[in-house]
Amino acid sequence: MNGNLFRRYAEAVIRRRTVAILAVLALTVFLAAQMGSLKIDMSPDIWAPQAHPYVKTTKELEKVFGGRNIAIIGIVPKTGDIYDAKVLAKVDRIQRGIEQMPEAIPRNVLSLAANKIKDIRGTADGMEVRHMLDPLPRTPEELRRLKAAVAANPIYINALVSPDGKAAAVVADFKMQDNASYAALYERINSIVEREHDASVDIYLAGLPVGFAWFEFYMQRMPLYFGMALLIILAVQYWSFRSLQGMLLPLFTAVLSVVWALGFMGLLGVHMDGMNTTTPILIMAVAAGHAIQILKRYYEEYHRIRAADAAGVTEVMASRQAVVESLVKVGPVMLTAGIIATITFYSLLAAGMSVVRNFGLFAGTGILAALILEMTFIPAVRSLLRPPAASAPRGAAGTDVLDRLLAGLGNQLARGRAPLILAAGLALVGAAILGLTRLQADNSLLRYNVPDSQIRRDDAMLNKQFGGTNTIFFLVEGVAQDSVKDPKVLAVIDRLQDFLARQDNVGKTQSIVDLVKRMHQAMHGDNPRYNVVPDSRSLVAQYLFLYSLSGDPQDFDNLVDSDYRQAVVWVYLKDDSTAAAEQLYRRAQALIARDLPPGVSMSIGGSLPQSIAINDTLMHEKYRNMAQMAVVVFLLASLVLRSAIGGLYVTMPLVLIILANFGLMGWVGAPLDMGTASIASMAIGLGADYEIYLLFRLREELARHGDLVTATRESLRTSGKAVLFVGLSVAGGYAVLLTSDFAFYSRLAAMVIVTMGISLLSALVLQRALVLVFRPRFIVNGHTDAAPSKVAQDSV
Amino acid sequence: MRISPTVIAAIASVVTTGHALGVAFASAADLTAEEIMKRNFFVTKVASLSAEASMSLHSDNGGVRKRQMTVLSKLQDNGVDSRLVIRFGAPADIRGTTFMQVERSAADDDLWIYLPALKKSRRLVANNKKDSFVGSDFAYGDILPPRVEYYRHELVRSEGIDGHDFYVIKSVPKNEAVRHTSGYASKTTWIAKDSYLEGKVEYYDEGGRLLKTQTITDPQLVDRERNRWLAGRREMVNHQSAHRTVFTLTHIEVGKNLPESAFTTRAIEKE
Repeated sequence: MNGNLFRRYAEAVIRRRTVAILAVLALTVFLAAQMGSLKIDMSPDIWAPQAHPYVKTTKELEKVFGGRNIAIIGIVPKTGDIYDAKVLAKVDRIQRGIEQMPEAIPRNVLSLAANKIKDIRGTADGMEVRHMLDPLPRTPEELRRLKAAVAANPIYINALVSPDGKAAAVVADFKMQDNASYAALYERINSIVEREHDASVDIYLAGLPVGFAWFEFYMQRMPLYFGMALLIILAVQYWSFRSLQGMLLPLFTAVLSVVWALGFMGLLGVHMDGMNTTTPILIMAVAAGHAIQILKRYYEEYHRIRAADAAGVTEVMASRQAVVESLVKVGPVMLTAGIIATITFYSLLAAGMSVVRNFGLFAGTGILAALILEMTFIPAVRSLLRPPAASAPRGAAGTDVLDRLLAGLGNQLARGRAPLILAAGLALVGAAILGLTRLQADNSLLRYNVPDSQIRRDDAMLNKQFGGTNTIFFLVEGVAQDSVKDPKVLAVIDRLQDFLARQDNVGKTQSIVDLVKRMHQAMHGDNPRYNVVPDSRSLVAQYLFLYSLSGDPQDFDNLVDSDYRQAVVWVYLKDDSTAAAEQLYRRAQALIARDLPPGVSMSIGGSLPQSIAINDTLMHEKYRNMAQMAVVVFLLASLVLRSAIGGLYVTMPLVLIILANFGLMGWVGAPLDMGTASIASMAIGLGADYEIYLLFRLREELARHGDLVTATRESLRTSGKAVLFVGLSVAGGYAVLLTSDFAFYSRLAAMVIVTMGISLLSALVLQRALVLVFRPRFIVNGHTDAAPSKVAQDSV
Repeated sequence: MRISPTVIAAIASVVTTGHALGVAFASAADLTAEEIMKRNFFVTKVASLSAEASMSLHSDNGGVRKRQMTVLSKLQDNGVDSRLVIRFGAPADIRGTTFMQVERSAADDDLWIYLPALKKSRRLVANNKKDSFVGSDFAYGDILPPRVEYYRHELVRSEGIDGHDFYVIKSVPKNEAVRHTSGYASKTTWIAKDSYLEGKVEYYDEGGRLLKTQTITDPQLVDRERNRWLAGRREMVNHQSAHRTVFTLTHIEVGKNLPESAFTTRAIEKE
């Protein structure tokens, strides 16, 4: 950090300010144009770690069977049951309507009205196969017969009809093209469903597409939140500077940084996703934070220059000189802090989940943009603007509540209370960290919503009526063709279904075995003794063949692949707890692993296992990402402070902040999800900023005053105040999300605010106390106030 | 679960010869769309048929299922209904599985199935005549088209494809019942001007979207006297499911005297 270099640079920027401003504006126009190609990407793939076995199985399943985007539509008559001509006609029309949607996978659109849903029954000399709703039953006799048909084919009960007959379901699967909008899909489903919605029935919607659609609806409100956050940051800025210029200049940096980062993402073809929708607020707050640091210094320098030599220096000259001085003094610190933050965020590009990578790219680029702007555009503009009035804020001066607070803090620290404050602070942090043991990862799409949201009410209703709105698929797979026609394999699947059916949270299972058993029984005059898997392989093959001849070529495609190498067991679960699902799989595997014939394997996939994979990876990668970011911060901080101890002073508190943050989440029961997990990176990126600004200022003040206590007090009064405003900007910016009725956002906002509180506490109180107590050499080296063994240390 | 005359039909079936002859001698220049469709309707009707057939089912993700079968069909004494036996030869695990269908124009058809692993034939009852034909992309109605007079036909244009001239005829069901039974809002048929065998058919679903396209190739003249043709290969593509079926006929023998005993449950139980 060469002061002369910065001085020459700053003077050059002021000399060529028109060029600087035009260049920035041109770049801004160019990048703003790229924003047009930004698309929202709701694909579940971007959240999913592609290498995880559950994700691989899910993709395999999707390729062969579909089942990735299952929605459940429940039709519940307000009185009576579904065996009513009008209600059945509604089910039929919804079935046809959904089947005709371009996104629908028609073979996976199932209800009593589906072509492949048949009543199979044994007769004295053979078997009878009839469509359930074709023709639609109208007379009481026909309706009675339908009721009996459903009762005779239990495979449909709990899946398509509730056990009490009071609700009917249309289970629909969709294929989403790249970047297709779930919100749009939901609107189309809804328009089909709403036509049937009248005073006689309630209609409910649930399932993954519905969850993602709601996510998207809330994402679409982000510009509103962004605007509100902007206003709050403006207010903090105004409070900080009490001037229009002071309020608006940092805002330029903030908004342009977001535009640049968004444009850059558009340029790279990176899409916007659910996690990144809040990132503009982060960028805006961080960018404003750097701008505040430098602008505060500008005012400080301006008033110092004016006070020092009023004679030969005009206001304009003083202003330009202050621009140069502020860049010389704060520029290197800002670049150091900003580059550390940028590199730290960019280190997330190594993450396994593309949402995390995108977040790192977006946040890092935004901060980089802020640095560039603060080093070019802002000094150029600042030098053009009118110098501040005499009454303008004096930077570090002022007597507002924050000043008194910081002064009081400085005094407490000066009075030798530092050890006590440090001990108390560490005890608090320690208590918070204990909560880590209670922390749980939970990426339930459903629980991203608040309990009384429509989606959760609908989901609860459907879970009450049917087997469940959450699906897991057990994939049983052999190496050779026709593996699943092996009665041994079918028997294992049968046993698996038996086991699953006995579990509390499992409401329904379906597989090819159900059909084989049904056929076997029907071909034997419906004798219940034959409701078993036949032990002859060729009989199994012939039943399957017979069944396939009775319908469309794709009647089986949701249960077995075309060469009968893979079979899938559909499992409907009552809740979307990933922990329960995982346990279910472990127990099932232990139970049936030994019975699987050689070469036959079992795995799970579907939206719930995919969530498990996300959670696994999130928990696992989180620690890795954190460790990686901490190491990056440590190395860079050690480098700029030229001291490994200095690096530790910056890094250790960050680690404690994050652990305390996760610990607090554990205590209050807030889950680790995609949003709250990103806070750790935020804490590292921002926390390092705070500490670096404060340490550099402390060294500067120490050089000026030669006394650590005074230097601490001065650094708190100046940089500390700026840090406080940055923290308030971030917290205030996110606070608008507290008003969101989307729990994913409000939870994130609450945790960001808490984290900012802990970070400020750490930077302004604990770390100051730490420095006062331990007087590290990298700070006090060369000053009289240094430790008694200074000479000895110097010789080391 | 219904096997129809289809395959056969496709193949051929039987029909009143006189009627067919009458149509055949009309002058092509004067033909209305309906008359062209009538000729097309009769062009595949033969008195008896035996053939080897193969069917391959191609799913949208590249999976293929193949089936081999022997087909026998014969006109009943009433001269209208036919009898049909299909015995599957491959894949190996369904070898010997046999269907028999006795058409009854006045009542439900009789349908029997023989599963070798069960060693007994069973009667099957099914209620839906618009089902797919033996689990293929062909519907019964695609192979045995409904009667010509159920539709309003319009000659849209003539078109030359690969050196052959075709009439292009659009057919729309005359009433809701026909429309619902067939499942189609309309179909467009390309009929060869020389043989009256169709070359291509497009089927539009009840929402008016293109549902399926059938392509007919390898036409074979099996009865020169009566101008009877059978298609060696029919391919049906379902555009909405991306699934397709290819149906081919070989070893076609027409007019052979098949014994009545070939069409009994006892016969199909013999392997």
